[in-house]
Amino acid sequence: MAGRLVRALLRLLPAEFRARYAREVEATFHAERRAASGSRLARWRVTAATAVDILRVAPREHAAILVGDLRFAIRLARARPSRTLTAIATLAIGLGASIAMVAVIHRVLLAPLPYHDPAAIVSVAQTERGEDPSNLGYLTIRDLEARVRSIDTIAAIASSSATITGGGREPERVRAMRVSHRYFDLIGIRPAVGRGFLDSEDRPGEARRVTVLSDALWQRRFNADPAILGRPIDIGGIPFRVVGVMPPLRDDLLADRLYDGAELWTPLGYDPAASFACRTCQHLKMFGRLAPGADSRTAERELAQVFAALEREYPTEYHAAGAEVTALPDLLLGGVRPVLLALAVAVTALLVAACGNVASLLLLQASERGQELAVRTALGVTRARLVRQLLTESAALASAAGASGMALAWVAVRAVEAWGPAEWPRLGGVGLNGPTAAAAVVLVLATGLACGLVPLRLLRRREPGSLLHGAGRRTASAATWRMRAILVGGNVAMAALLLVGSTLLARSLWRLLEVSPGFDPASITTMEIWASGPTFRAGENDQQVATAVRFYEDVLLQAAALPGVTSAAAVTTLPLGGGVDGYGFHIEGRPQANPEAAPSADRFVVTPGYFETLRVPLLRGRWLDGRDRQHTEAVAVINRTAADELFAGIDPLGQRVSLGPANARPRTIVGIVGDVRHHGLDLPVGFQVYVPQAQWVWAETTMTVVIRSSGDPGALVASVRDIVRSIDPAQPITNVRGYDAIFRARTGTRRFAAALLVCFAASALALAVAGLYGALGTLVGQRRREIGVRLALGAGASAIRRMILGLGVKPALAGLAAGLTLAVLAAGTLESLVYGVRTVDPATYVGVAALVAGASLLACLLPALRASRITPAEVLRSE
Amino acid sequence: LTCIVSRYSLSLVERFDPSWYLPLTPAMFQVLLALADGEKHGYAIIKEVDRRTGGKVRLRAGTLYTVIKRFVNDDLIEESDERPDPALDDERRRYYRLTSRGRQVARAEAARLTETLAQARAKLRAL
Repeated sequence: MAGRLVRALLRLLPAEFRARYAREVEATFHAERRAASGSRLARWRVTAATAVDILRVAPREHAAILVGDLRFAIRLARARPSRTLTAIATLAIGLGASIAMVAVIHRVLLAPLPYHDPAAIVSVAQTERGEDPSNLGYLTIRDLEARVRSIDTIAAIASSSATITGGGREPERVRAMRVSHRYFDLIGIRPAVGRGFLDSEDRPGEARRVTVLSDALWQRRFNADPAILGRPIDIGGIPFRVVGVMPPLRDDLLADRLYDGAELWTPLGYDPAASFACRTCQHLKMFGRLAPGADSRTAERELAQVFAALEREYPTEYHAAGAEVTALPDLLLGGVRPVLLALAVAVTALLVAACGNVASLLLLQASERGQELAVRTALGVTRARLVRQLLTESAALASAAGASGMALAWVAVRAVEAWGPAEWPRLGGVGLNGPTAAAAVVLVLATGLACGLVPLRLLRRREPGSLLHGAGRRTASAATWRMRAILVGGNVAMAALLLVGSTLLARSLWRLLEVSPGFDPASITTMEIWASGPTFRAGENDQQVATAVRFYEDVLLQAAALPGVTSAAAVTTLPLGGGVDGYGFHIEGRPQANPEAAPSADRFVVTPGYFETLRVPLLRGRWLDGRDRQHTEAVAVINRTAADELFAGIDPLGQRVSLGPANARPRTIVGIVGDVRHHGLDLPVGFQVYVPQAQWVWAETTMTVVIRSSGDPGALVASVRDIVRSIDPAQPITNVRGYDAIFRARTGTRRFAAALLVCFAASALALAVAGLYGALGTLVGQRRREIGVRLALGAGASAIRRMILGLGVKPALAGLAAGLTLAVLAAGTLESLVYGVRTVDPATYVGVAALVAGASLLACLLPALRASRITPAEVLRSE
Repeated sequence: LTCIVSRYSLSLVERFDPSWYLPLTPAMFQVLLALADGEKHGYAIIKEVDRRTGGKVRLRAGTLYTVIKRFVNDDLIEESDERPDPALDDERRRYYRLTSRGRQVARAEAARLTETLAQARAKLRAL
């Protein structure tokens, strides 16, 4: 038993030590035990002391060997500084990119959300006729809350904004969320100070004038005043009592991403009888928590049954309705996941290419050290010991590269933070933290192992005797070449894969930038000017509409008169600005049995001069202008797609349509304008309908002003600010943007991914060409004698050129074929990023094949030319 | 570690200077002393050290053989070919003896310790 224990522990010592001394150690141990045979305790004391001693000695012995190997590795590296630096730099680029990618993925995708059990929070969207899922109406959510069992803690959310005035400070507009009272229970975060909303506050009336502030807003606007609780603050001229302040929340993506960084919460407090609470008024998002034992699919099935029941009860409010249930993390991060996956594939390909190149260099080094290794083997050094030394050398190389890679990753991560796409969540906090460093260590060790294993194969093929006698040099160089050729082929494959990816993305971006948005975005400045306060709430609806119209008219009239301004107008939602309102489009004389079956059109409320300002082309009829007042004939303008598809065979001009409910006030179509891409440059254009602000059902007080001017946008904004202040000092201006910024934001992910992939592809191609050139060059050097003999025997220079070219081109072509095949297989990861080209686009593949083949041929050409210039006399002299 | 290796593995330098090995660890010094009066196998070294120090220094097999390995590599001790009667001997044992280098190192360490002791005595006397 004691003997077995010591024998087992001896295995912890280095193999060399064991081979020489293990038996002696055992013999000594047994002799000691025999000497202590007097008592059992004494014998056990010897065993324990020996065991502890071995445990203490083993790491020291390994460390001593490691230090020796490392010193040898450093001497070796210093003997060939350029090769060492090339290898370190190559690996450092691959590792740096990989570590940075790990850091980004860890932060963006894997960092936890601050909510309680976020995976159980789901969003419920309504689907009709299998179309894209949409928001829900208030009454629908109330019914679902009462009937659905698989989802509880349901909250309804409306997007909102609040203009905070008072306190002797400039009015400030903040994004807000109107939430039903269970919202804070849903996310599982209570206000740090005070409380959330009560059921009694989630009702129409005075009780709902309460608010919860974010920590940031509390600090910024109210100087972190602890006495704020219970005090009223002025929101849009109405006092709201502060009942809570949220704790500082990192990554509150629900508020940040879905509600533009909302900083203030108020109760939803809808009156079920209100017009905007209707079932078809689908403007609320619904969230809930999966009940214990339920999952998204069971919830979807139950919701489908409930919707079927609702449809039977309210046949004119629903039409083939169902629900889509999405887990909150998927909703918030699902968009960026495929992009990061594609980039991760690309980074892996780059790292593989870098490893291939370095393995090729190490292989060359090992083949040059053939004699040295053979001598050491002959002197009794075991193969295991040589393997250990070679692996230590490559691990040392990888560690040096890892340290440089870490520095590169730090730079890359800062660059991603600064220039990464704005639509990626949480890029702000990306950094090299503990988990990233752990992943980096694993990557470095794996890289060291991958690079070090290749030369070991060469070691296995060696018979020390043949090497000692200098024979086998020819076979060794052939074996080295075969392995280097495989590595070169691998590199070419990675380059081809990355080139296909980058070309597809670059072409998509090109196509996207070529897409006409349907208007002229140059020289346009946009800003949100929302009208709020008691002035705009005074009187009946008609009076409110008139007040809002007058306010915007005043602002736009004065803005249009500013120097350099060509024209100015306002619209409810800006093209490509995100968020449009869909309305039922009911054509007079074509009644639907179920009004919900009517087509839906995107509705835009505009002021006169809107089309002229954005230069949206008028195709037929007239633009909306100053003639269209509150009490003149109600009119509308539609886009080309609506005219072509909804009025096939008839003239839309003069037709009358109702928007929203089928019995809404009919409007006469007076013009047809070109299609404007509202949802995105890469998304199809749907039906669009424009109505004058003066004629809309209610007062539109949330408008974005667009101004075409030739002057400096900064000065323009300052002047408009002065104008607004002179008209109503309580109205702030926010979200000032030019269209270049909007386009950048819209194409950010594609630009970023394309730029990265182009860099990776260029690096991989350079690595492949350098690898091919280096390997073939070495081969020509090693086979000088053979080439000289061939030439002496009458072979022509062109035959030698062809022979060397053939040797080099073969692995390149095989690699190219493998790379293109891989590209076809990996094309799916790019699906979400390509536009206007197919992922298996023949032109791209042919182009990449031509580029890679051309570059490979060039890389082979120089060694081939050098080989053909060898003369037999030269070879004889050097031999 | 670098320090240990540079101190104990400089066997390939042309001119031998015993001071490179100083100071020795107590275990190392005891191994050299144990071999000063003739060749011994590992267990005999342990016993000799134990007897001479009155049980104050207890070498264990693991430590002993790492010291032996290092000394053999650095040519301070060598393996002896002479074996006693097989009937009296465990064939797994090997015998070791001091080389002239080992003797020099042992002397140098003894001189160093003597000097250190003299200095210590002089100081402590003054107290």
